[in-house]
Amino acid sequence: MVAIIRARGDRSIRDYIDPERGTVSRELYVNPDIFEQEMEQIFQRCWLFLGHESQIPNPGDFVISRMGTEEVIVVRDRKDNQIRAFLNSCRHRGMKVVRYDQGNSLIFTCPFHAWTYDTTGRLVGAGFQHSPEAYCGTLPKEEWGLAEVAQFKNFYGSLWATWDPKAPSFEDYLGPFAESLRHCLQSSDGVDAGLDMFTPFQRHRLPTNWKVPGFTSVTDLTHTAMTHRSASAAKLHQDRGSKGGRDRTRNAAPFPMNKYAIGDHNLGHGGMCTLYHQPGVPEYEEEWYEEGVDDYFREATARKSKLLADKIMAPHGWGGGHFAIFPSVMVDSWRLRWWQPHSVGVVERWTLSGIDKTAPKHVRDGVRHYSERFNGPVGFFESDDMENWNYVFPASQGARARKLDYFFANGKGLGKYNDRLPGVVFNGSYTEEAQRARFSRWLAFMEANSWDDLYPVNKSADHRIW
Amino acid sequence: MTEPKKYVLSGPNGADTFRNLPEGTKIATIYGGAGEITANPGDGAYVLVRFTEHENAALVGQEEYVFFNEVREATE
Repeated sequence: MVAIIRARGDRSIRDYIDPERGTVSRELYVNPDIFEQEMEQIFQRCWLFLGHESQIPNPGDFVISRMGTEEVIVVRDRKDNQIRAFLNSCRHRGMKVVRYDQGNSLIFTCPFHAWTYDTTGRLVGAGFQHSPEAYCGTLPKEEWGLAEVAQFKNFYGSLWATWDPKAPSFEDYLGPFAESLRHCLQSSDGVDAGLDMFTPFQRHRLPTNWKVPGFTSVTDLTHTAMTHRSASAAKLHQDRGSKGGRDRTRNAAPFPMNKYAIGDHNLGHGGMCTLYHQPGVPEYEEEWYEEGVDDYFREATARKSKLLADKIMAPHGWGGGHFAIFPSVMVDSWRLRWWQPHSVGVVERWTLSGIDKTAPKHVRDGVRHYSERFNGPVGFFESDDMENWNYVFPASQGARARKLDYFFANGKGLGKYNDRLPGVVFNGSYTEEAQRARFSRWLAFMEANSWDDLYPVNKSADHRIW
Repeated sequence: MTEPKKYVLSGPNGADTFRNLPEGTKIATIYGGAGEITANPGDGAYVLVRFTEHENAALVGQEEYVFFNEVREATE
């Protein structure tokens, strides 16, 4: 095994990426030491997606999420209604405090020694706490609450957190992608935070490294024609309804636009991007199998058109393609999909799909059915992707295979900056610009001693390596 | 005058009985405290009690979680 020096600030990690050739060593995907460094250097520092507020609408509601390899309890407090996130690990002996995926609770009681915490994470009890023969004043409860995330953000209904108190604000972390994410979290008539997510949500486990899907499945248009050929041939390729991809006329003239692959090398975010060149919203196009659903969305789109009549929309997932938030979230309209690393060769894919809060039942059912037939192991489309994701790792980790590099040079050197999204490199739709941007950011995190070295805390930092 | 119902907290059904003690149940603890259940999380481990008597006077009128093993008696 290649020795990786594990000290922070180790610059030898840079040797595994060759910006001139446009290659990345397979070691970065198969080496367990690098994986552990990623958990420390990236997942302890970045803003990570936890879920959506609609999963926990009532006081005392909780849902288990993850930050890197660790579970967190996301809970809405019973008194102040605030949502908070805590490490799911008892402060006494480290037992998992909550063992249900979701629920409603007054307190969280550890099944080991009965240390118990309220919905603000405060330690409110311990077995035999009042016994004169037990703790006897040695347990200052105020010091032994659950470990809470350093920063938490409810961004238009989506829930994010970081363990690092020095991380920038969530809006600064997103940079020019903040407005894009906001659009994806709107209901179809343009109302902010207007979504309800379907519960329980989809989760499935894949035998691969988290970066295999996390760094390549957004803006990887060259895979679509081959990987999804059968789905396309069956006319199942189009997002929801009866028309095949090539038949779609949405966003076509007279609503001018250009499509790109984009990547912000300083922030690591990027993906597919549609830039519209005129104010307003493209005309709605019929696309649903289910009766009555088009009627609903046609009317919603009309309301959104009025709302945005004078505004040129930010690039977003409504007809504009999906994009990634570094390190491991993929976003488009109604869907938040993210990868939860478990070990160097195991990742879980979580998918939250939703619909307008005010949508009637037949529309909710229609969107839910679409989500189920598209996503996950039994979805016709993503099951294609899993064939690739699942076999990349075993085919790359052998003694011979891991000595080779992956090719990431597609479109290298062709990107250009664009005033519409400052700092973001625009490139052709079929290029690997977004993936390169993620590796620029990945390397910056792996080398940084702290957020002081990283953009945007360090505003003069330039992380672009290729 | 009928005696208030006393819950049986020992034996094979004791844990389930404790888990389902309703709000308003009178509690006496093995340390001499007394109070009334204001909430039961249903975890079988704790009930939330507002104390009417307690050796620590500062806790009288306050709510505290009481562990099942510290409950001497529970009555309607």
